[in-house]
Amino acid sequence: MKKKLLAFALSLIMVAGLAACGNGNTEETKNVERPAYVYVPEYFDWGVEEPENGYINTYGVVNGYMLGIKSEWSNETHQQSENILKYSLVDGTLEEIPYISDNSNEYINAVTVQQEGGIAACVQEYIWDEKTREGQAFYRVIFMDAAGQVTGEIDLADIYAEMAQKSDYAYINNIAVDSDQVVYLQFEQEIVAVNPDGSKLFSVETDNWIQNMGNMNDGSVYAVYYGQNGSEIGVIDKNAKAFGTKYELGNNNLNGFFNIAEDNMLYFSDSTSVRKLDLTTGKSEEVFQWLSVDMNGQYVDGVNYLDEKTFFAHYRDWSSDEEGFVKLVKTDSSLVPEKTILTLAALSSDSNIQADVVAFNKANTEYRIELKTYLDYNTMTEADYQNYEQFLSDATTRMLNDITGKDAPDMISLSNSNISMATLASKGALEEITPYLEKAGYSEEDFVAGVVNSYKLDGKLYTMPGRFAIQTTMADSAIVGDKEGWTLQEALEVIKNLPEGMSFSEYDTQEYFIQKCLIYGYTNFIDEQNASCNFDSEEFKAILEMAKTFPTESDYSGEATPILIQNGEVLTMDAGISSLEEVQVCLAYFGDKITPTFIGYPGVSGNGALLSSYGSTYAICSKSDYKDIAAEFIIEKMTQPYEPEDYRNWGFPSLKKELDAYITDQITVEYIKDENGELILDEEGNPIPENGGGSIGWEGWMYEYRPCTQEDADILLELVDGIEGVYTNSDSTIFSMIMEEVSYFLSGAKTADEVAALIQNRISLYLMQNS
Amino acid sequence: MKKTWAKSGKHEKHAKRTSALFLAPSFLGVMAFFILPFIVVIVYSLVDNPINMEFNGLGNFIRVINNGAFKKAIANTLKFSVIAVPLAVVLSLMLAIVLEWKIPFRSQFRTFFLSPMMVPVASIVLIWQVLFHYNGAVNEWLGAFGIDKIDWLKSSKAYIVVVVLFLWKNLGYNMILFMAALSNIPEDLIEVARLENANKWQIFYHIKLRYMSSTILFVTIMSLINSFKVFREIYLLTGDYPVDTIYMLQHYMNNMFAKLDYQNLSAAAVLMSLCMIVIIGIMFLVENYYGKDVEG
Repeated sequence: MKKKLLAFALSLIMVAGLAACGNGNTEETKNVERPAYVYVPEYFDWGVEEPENGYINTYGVVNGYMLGIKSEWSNETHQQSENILKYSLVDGTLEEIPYISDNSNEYINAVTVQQEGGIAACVQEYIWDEKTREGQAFYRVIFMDAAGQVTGEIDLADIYAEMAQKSDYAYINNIAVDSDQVVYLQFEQEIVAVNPDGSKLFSVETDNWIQNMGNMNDGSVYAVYYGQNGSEIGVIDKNAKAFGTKYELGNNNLNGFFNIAEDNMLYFSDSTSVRKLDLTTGKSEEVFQWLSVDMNGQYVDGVNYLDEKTFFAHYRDWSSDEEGFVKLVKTDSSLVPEKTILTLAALSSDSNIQADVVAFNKANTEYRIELKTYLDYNTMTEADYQNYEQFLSDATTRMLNDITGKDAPDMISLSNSNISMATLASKGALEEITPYLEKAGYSEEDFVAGVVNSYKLDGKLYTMPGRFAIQTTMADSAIVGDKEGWTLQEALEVIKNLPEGMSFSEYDTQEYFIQKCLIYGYTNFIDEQNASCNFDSEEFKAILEMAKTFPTESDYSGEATPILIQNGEVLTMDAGISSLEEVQVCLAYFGDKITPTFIGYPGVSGNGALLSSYGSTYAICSKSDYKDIAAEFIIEKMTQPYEPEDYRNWGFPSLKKELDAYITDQITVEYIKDENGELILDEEGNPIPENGGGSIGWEGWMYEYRPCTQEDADILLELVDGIEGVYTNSDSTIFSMIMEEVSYFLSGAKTADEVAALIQNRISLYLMQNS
Repeated sequence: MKKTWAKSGKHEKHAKRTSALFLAPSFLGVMAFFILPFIVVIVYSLVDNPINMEFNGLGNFIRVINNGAFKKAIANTLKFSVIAVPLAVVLSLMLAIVLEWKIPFRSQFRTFFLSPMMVPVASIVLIWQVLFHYNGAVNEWLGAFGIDKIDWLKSSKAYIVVVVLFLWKNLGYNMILFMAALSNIPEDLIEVARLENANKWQIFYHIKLRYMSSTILFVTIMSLINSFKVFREIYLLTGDYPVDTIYMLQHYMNNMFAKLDYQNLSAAAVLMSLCMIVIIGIMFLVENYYGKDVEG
């Protein structure tokens, strides 16, 4: 009896331990451990102003200096001047060394600093011969001392002539000088070593593009290029006239600059982090992530290690054209104000996510978002590429486990997750956003109806993109009918009865046609509610037989699509509309004689158009302890204002008032005025509009843009209101199973009946299992 | 007789404590990696989802039992076990008996049957794909005789391929176990039987089989367990969703895991465990009956 009681008591103790397996996320379990030190960014200006009639190119950090070239055109002298910019990262002093040349055709295309502070620059002269209508490039290297005085030069005519024979596009990308004054010139896949007297010493070639060059601590030269397993560094051995020691960086998307510190560490960066490679052991490790210093790694040109506590980086935000320098100082984390951490989960890091996270962290003094990713494209190995599907599947599984586990993130990026919103919502993993929208003063009616309807699941809204585009199909209304939206059956009838010499679409191949019918006519074959399908139907077999009439490969060698459409050779055209201007272009494809209609994709409900999102789409995880803050971040993205000058503003705003602002801006015609504010008139006495202008065309077809009109806007709004689906919502498992079997039919190995029966068998099983 | 602690004595107590101490690491390991996770599985099978963790009673079990795919998986798995396991046991026993005879090239035959055990599963699957793919070697060979191609892996014939694969992989291991059991049968018993004019069949049935009953039970249980593991080969050959004739119970569970449906997965696992307990319990009873003379 005692033993039985003891056994029972032990069982209870074990079961009691399961009380920890619940959704009781406490503050203690959610707090992220703070590192001992952090890098604190200090932005600074190197004191160079962007010239009004010129530009500045930065050439990275070499031997403790940030280098650049400032080019400026003078309206008075009608000459281009170039200054070499040499900014010392040690003492913060800037030198502008003018390069003065009598030859106005010359410009500096590569520059480096030697260890004693002198400059070596590669100068290019390009001469255009009007008679022969050909151009010719001439190169030379000039040496300058630390004061900017030219101390020598090397004529590269013979060397360049030899390289030009190997390639029509020979171009010197970079220059380095070793401790023996041997000059190394970087071409695309070859480095040529040149003696001080201008004679060629030797050359080394790589199999892939060379990304950069630099100096080792002993003065020898290294090159960074793409190797077998990602980027690698090869140190050039002058004696062997080949690459000597090589180091694998294990990285594929490196930022521009590299440098080797005194401790024999190579510091380099990619779009997510700064890493160091120990040249003694060949092992690399992460130093810090760009997001931890509130920087978008995608905008970073490169990083320079100054000492054990200091890094410098140069960045260029290509969306806002902002650029600058930042000093990153290693600081005890106890000296930095602590913020509450929210975790954002995404499969991988991308530019949009980084930009959103950086913007939030910089603006928020109390909270901070940390990004948790599950795969890094920067460090993918060759084996990962070979088994990409498994690589992606493993990362997705880890992400799913986290979302449903104890340490669930606060938010998830749905657009970068490889996980369907419907799957997460059905597990109760997502929080409805509508109550938070109401708290923030918005209602669903404030958003474009098509966007809301497309993103709702069982009447619940979890998120929406801040910007969207439309995908649809256009066709001649005389053949398909003057309507929007059609069934698969109607489309097949049209295909069967096409006029002689007309094909359904221009680039559709056998496989692509079937894929489109499946994507867009998904609900024609699959009834998820009743867990049934009808792939053994005559309709599906008709699609298979119809697909065989299409070519196996696309032919891109023909005339421009608009010409084919207007000649009656092609019926439909896929239209991706992300701006109001594109509405007029789509209509222009059909010319004046054909009346087009936005017929949509066959089988898609509503008007047959589908929605695609721009930027990142985020959702709140239901296990988050900071739902209000997460909602604040997400709603800010959902309600992005229309900003004409922001290059990241692709697509249409989802918020109705912003969409109206966008349309108003696009259809309001501004006319060109002179310096006195008077309208400038054309030859016919009409004012010249600022909007419109420009043209688009290829292969014999051209269209000149006109200012957008209210008519264009009405067409757009009608399209948008009729959307009922999102572009990529079909089940990829079903899709890949079907295409796997369809390949046997298309190759002639099996009949349509056999393939249809097998697909019906497998998909039925799949639907039954998941019902 | 009622045993009391007083009669056990200090020595016995000490012995028990010492043995408990030595057993503790294994016990804790089994607890941590088998028992506790299984208890978690039972808990998951009784809740609505891993986020809310609200008690759902037998709802998950009812849903799983009513699921058409689960029923199909159960039927296929049972059918496979009923066909493949007896074949694996009988054929390997026959092989063991044949190899017990002093036939030429006996050790080479043994090596031949054991070699599939040494080959990694992925390599085996690769070979099988080359053989039984729609454009594979077997169809090429059939084509030479004017026979139409057979879709070995995506039709009802897939069943045959899987059974053959299972037998090819497992016969060697079972054969070795039987050979060991046969060599452990006391020779003097067989001599006595021969002296008393027992024929070979009588010797085999009344003496050898009886002595091998525990080995037969063990081999049957191992074959039954391996019959469930054949999912691995089927999965590598045909993926997550094969043709319905070879859709096994572990396909169902594997797919549930991939879809985060831990409730269905756990319910299916618990049901499978209960079935296994019943089946193995019956086997033990049968062995007890037939082997009782041997064990005395």
